[in-house]
Amino acid sequence: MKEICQYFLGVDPADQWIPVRPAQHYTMGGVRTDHTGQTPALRGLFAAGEAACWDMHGFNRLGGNSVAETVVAGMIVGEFIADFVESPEGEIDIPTAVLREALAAERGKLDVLLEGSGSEQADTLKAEMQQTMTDNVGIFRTGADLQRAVDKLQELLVRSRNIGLRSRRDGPNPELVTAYRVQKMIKIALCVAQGALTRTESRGAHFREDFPRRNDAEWLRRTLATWSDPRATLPTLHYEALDVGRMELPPGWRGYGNKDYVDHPDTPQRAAEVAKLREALGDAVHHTVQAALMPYDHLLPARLRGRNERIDEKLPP
Amino acid sequence: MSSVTDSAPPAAAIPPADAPKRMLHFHVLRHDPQDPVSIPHFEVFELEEAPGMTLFIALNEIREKLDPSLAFDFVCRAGICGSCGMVVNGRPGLACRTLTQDLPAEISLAPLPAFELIADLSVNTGKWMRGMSERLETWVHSLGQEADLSRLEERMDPELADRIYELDRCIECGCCVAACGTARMREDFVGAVGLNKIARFALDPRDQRTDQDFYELVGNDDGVFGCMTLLGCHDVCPKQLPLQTQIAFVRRKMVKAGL
Repeated sequence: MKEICQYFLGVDPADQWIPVRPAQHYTMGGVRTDHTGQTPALRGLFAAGEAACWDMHGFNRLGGNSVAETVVAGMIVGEFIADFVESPEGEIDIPTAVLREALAAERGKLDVLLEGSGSEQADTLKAEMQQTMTDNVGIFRTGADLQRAVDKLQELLVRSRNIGLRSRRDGPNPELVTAYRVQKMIKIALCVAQGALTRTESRGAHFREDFPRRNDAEWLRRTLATWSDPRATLPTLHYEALDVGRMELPPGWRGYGNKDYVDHPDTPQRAAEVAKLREALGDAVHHTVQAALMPYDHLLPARLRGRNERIDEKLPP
Repeated sequence: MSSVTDSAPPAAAIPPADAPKRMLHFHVLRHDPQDPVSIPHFEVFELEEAPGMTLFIALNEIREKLDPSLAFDFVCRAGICGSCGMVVNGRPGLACRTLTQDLPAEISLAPLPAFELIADLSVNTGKWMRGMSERLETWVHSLGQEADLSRLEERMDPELADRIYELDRCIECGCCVAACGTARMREDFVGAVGLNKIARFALDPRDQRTDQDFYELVGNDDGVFGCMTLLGCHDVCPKQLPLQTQIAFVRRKMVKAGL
């Protein structure tokens, strides 16, 4: 900590204040995938790590999440990708004409930026987007702030379709990179802001001052954003319910803070089932308990299905 | 406690009320090798200094306010990714870890030499590092035995793990290569970064390569015997790696292996 202060801030924390502020640091959510890391939306597209919505950490971000995501998804999803590529399903035949069209469309977007007569500056739009998110979509959120963010971001998205570059060189052109990216950044910001505005509860890192309670009855479901119409200024939000009946640990009180939340209607029944199963299994080994409560072996790549050695559980040599 | 990668991005320091403001002049070497009419030249940008300003902050401000075409690389702005190496007033270093308060008001910035120039301050260290890694095979060689993921890893003495970790702190920024006399003369010289990696894998009991195997990789003038012991690498390493010791260690090992 001392070195960070000295190297990056020029502050000696022994006698100067360390500046502290919240900042966007990790993206909770990403490309929706199944347990193999493949997205249901596009066959052959896999996502792993911070880019994926693979459910390893649910709705919260704690220190070290990105490392755990990388290591665990690297092992499991990596194996699934290798299997997929080897399988007949992995033989993806795309007509050359389709590729040529897709390439021409992307090239066209770059040409519009490079040669068009737009009047908006990419850096300005990016700075305005950042300020909007910092001001309105931070740690403590309200409906009014989030609405203000969504309105402003929509305006920025429209303006981003009219970007003009000051430096028009082809090749390594940082302004072109910013311009190309900022249009997508604003869309992602809109997915976050619109998702947060619609979610009238508090959950994980999403805290609404106007809806401070966690509400499993209405909101134990995942927000999925799509953008099928490229001219739209808002994403389409879908919701995918979570099945409490299959959970090993139905969502309940976390063991800290006030017991102030709304249960999912299925939770009491599932909690009773889990308690009954645990009682019936008594002192059974944890593998048996796991298999009874929430089996998952069949969801792993074949190579990783065996038992893992632990310090107190040796495997036969 | 938490590592640098896991901490929030650095914020601007709180300015003291009576902070005197300096005007800084950045003399930036500009060139686009893809543009046939581009001639390398210095361009001067003027910027007011802010408290806690690093070259990362300054260059971004220049790009946002003065010249959107200025090419330079940054990713982590926390001294971890190694992409912002550049020559600052004649000395290779990381721009994100260089505070303007430690520099005079006239600051010259040039791309790292020895690497392929992309444009302005941006160089392709990745291509160089990949080539070096492939040549030196900088990964653990377990000689045919595939690791059994279901079993506990072999235990390692914590002191040895610390020694390996110390060398693993290399971020491949390329400063040592840019500061190296041999690298400027011999295109294929592996540099301190490469020799440090050999030292790292030679320490690792999981790597079953012998000294003879390492000799095949670095026992020549493009390897450890090309080093002229100028030790510019050691002087400029932003991570303060013990490069001088590692080169001496590898050289001694390789002399023995070569006899």
